[in-house]
Amino acid sequence: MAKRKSYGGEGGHSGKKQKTAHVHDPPTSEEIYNGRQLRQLLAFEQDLRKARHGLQSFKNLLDSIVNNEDQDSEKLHILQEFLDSVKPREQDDEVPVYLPDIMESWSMAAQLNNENVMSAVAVVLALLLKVLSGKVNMVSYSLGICRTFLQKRQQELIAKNLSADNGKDFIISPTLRLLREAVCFDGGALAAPIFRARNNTFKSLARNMGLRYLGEGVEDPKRPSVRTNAIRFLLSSLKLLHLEAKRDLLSQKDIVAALMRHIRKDPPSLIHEILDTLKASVILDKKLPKEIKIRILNAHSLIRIAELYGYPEVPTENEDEPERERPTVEDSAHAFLTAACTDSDAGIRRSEHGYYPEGVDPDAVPSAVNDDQLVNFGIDSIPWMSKFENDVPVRNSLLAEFIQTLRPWSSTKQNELLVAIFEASPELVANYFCQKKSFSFDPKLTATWIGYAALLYNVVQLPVPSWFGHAKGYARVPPPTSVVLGNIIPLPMTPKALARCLSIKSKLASFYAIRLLTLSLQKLGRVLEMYQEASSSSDSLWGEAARRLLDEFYQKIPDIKEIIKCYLAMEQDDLLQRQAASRLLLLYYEVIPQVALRARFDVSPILSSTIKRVETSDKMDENTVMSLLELENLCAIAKYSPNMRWFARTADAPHSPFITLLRLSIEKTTGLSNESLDGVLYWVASEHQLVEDRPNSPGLYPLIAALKSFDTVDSAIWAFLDNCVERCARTPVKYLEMIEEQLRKAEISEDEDTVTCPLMMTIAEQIPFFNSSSPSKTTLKAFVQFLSEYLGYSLATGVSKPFIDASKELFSTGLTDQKLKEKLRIPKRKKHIQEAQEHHPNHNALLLNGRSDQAVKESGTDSIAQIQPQDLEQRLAVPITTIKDNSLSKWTSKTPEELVEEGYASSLIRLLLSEHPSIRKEALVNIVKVAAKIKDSTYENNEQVWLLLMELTESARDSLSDGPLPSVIVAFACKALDVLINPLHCLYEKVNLFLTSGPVWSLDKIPLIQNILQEGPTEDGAFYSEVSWLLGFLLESLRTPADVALFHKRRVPERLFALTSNPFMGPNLRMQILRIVYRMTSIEGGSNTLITRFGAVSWLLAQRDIATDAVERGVYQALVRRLWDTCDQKRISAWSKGGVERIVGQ
Amino acid sequence: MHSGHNSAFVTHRLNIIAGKSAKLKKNMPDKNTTSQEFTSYYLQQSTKEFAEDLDKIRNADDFKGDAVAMLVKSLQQGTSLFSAADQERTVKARKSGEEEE
Repeated sequence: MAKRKSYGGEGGHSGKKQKTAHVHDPPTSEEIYNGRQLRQLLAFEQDLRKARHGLQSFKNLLDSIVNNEDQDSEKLHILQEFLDSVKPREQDDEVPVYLPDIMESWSMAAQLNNENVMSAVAVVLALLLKVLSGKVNMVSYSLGICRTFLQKRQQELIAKNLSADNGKDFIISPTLRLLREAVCFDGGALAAPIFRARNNTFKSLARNMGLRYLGEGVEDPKRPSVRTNAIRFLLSSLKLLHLEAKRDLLSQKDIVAALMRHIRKDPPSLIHEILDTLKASVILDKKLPKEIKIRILNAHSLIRIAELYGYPEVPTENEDEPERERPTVEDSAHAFLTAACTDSDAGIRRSEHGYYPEGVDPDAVPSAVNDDQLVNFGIDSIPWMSKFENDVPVRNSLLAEFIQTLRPWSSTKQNELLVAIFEASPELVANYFCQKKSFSFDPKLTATWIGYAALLYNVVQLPVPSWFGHAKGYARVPPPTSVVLGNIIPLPMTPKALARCLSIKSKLASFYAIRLLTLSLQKLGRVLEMYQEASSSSDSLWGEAARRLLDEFYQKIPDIKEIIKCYLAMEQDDLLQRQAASRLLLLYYEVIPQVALRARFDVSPILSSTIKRVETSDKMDENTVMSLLELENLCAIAKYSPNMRWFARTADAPHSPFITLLRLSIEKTTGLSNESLDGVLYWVASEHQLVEDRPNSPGLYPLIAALKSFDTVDSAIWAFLDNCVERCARTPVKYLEMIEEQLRKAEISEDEDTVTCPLMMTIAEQIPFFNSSSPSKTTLKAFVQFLSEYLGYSLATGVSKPFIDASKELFSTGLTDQKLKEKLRIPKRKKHIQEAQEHHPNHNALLLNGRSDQAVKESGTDSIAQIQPQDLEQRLAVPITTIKDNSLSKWTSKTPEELVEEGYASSLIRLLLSEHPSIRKEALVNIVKVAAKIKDSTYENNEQVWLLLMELTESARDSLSDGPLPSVIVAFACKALDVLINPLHCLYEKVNLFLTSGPVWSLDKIPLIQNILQEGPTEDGAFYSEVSWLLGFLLESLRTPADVALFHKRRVPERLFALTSNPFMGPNLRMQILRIVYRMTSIEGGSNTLITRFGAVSWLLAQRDIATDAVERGVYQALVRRLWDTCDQKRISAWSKGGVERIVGQ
Repeated sequence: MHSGHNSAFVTHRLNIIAGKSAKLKKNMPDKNTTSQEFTSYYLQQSTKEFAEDLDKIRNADDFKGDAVAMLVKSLQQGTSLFSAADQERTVKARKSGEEEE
């Protein structure tokens, strides 16, 4: 007797009870012994109870085959016998119906709405197909049965089953299984016709996909829900359908939506099936058009799949499923999304233009710009340049929408996904942070803040796309400043948040801020380099954009003083923090020296204490290396620091920083690279003229080599050297004169090939004092040995032989003991020219800068870039502010704020430059009126502005009928007005003092020039800001030959030229001076004055020769030519006896 | 828990994770070993320097789920600021220090 079965239930899983609300009589069954019996049982009966009995008996038979209970294939034989007996005869005119009795029962059950039989038929047929699928010799039966389904009558029966009411799982599920078996039959042989009949076969599929498991816990894999069955059918179809059908299937919006809607609630195995199939049959299907792919991979789907992050992983207890080595749901979803969102073939990612927003044409310059004339309207003529501060349109709008829903701060995988998407589509970075307003970097010690910091780190670290995302080379117009900036220092890194990070009492917050800023500065360096590359290939829009980028960057980062403050507050043991902070400070000096030099950071005390820490560390471990890295950064900073006292000894250290570093370099060599330390030593030595600074000089090498030849160097020798270097650095001229004297004695001419060394003279001079300190015998012996080695290595590295001989004589005279004198000799030492050359300061400057990741600009050693006159004009010409006659009437309706702050008053003041006496007089009257209006108002700066305007009118009144007012007075009034409205301006105090010092200004003096250049800044560190203001003011003061005459009278060019000998003047300030020179050349008589009165030609040549960059040299050279082109050539030629001509002709 | 325990706890967890990731990549070539060893030093030193802050984060309300992994990830990000040469210097020094002992 067969086991009693539950009705209809889940085929293949005997003994399990189907959960259902219906309570019916359980079906009866009997054991089957042969095919004939089975045929009789299944014969069509009006009595559906009998039909059910037969179907149930058949099911039991099939179950035992599926469950491998059919050991000797006896059951299979019964099945084959039965199938043979009911096989329809082939008739030409009719399509054969397989299993006609079962189909009849089904039909009748459907008519009578007998759900038990409707279910039982589907169960039996699904099982039958499953059994047959593995049997090659029975293929013709399965094919026949499947074809029978496709007949209209059966199709309708299937459709009726599929659209049974919600809750009739026992009918719907087996039907879906039946369909799946049919689709999969013979590798999808019938998939296409089944899909063609989709009105019936896919009936209610979307609805059925919504009938998910609603019970407690996870769905039992042995009792799949309707949704699971429906999805498996859909996935099989996706796998097996041909292109056209797949396209149609994916276009069914309701099906796609239903597939994704509940994915988070699906059991793991189903999720894996879904993702695997989507990947294999959609993403990787190269023939499937992208527009079809995104029907299913739309933003909604991506969001649903992303919900799988954090999917609860239940440890599987099923011992019987050994293939548990599969990845977790989260891992699969992550891998799927990463592939889908970053691979352009997946259809989601569209090609884009990096930092250029969607819709802009970076090659179109406004039509007013005529290529032949190269009129430059500047970056503001690009209508979109400053349009994208609040929103950045992107091509990848689907991805942009999707990534907004991610939570990258709380999940490492989502962080990785987002960063991968950013890397593949850089346009999304700026857009993301514009939209993500809730992202606040204000420091809090929470997991979320850590997540924010991690994301920002990844984002800033992303590479800059080649050519900023423009295809094939740099575009004519640079990308919008806000977008570039948004990639270098993303919006959440606000000045306020960064300042808080540095100031709150949390080491971690400041450490993270410092690391982020380090990345930002590195990226800025890289971007500026790219701007430079771009500007040499096309117009100067890039140059202007770079300046603007820098200006805006300055606004966003904390002042270097904040970093210094934070650094000085760090504890000695905080090695990582100290290293990071020193690195950041160095980057400030390297990338944005203008900002760095504002703070007069005295690096010497901290350098000394770090040296001490490295010195006293008794063993070489990773902490020592960390301190050493910090020390290297500090040394590099010290090079930039004008206040660094390299040779000063302090009370708490035995030696000066220089000698201590020298000692470190010689003694601490185990396993360490001292290149950058040595680099600094070589640089300092040549900078302070301890050694000669020229290419064939061995520099400090002989000294170091001599010291290294000792196991330990006697402390007396260190003290002696410390004294010598200090003296030599203090009065280098003295020792240079000594060298001259020695050379004269030896009768050699002092030419380029004669290599000497000032330090050697100092040592010679000081030897007697070493003796007088009555050192021990061994010390003296070591000392003489050191001197000999020093001479030997000097000779070996190319120092002039007569000079060495003379030095030896001097050394010898200094030594009193005859025996010692005899011991002093010049030993033969091996030449290590190679090594010495490597350490030449110029090389080391490169080496040091090269340590930061940005590539150093290759300075072609002698090359001069060719700069054409038009190019020079672009770089240096600044248009003269025009005078607008209509300013006379425009001001009357404006408020005092508008008059002062929006330039109406300035326009009025400029009218004093007008050629027409009547306009000038009218302007004067109006200025008095404006002054009165402002004084009577409640405007906050009313008193000072009134004073300024009245002093101006008083000064101008008398001379007005003679001609225009000197430009310098007008320019000053306009510039001073800008200062007065901003009490935080660095010149606020000086301008106010100037105004209160007297009621009338001298028209032939240049206001404030003395106060700024001679008196020093009002606020510490504001010197360069003040100079920058002055240079802007001077440039505006140059319009007419009379202005040039005034500059001549007040010797302005001389002062400007002198300014450039300050080595800490930034390139921008130098550029401003060149602009003033250029302006003078464009005014009649300006070039003559510059050449004959101020030696401008030789100044330019000198500047050219010390410039490190080929383009910079080119600019100076081009400016010399400009002088020649614009001067009175006949006169200048006679004056210089043809000299200027020759220089230009070179 | 007392804060001392917390600190030890976090350090312990971080070390476990750092150690685990080092183990995972053990089969990779030498270049990665250096970077792994440097990362492990960097993490160790971080837990020393930021013990107090790490405690606070561990006690924050939102410290759950992926938070430990995120914390380790964010801490070790900083290693990318060190050049390969500097990482090697550090690791070598560590080894030579161990040999001396």
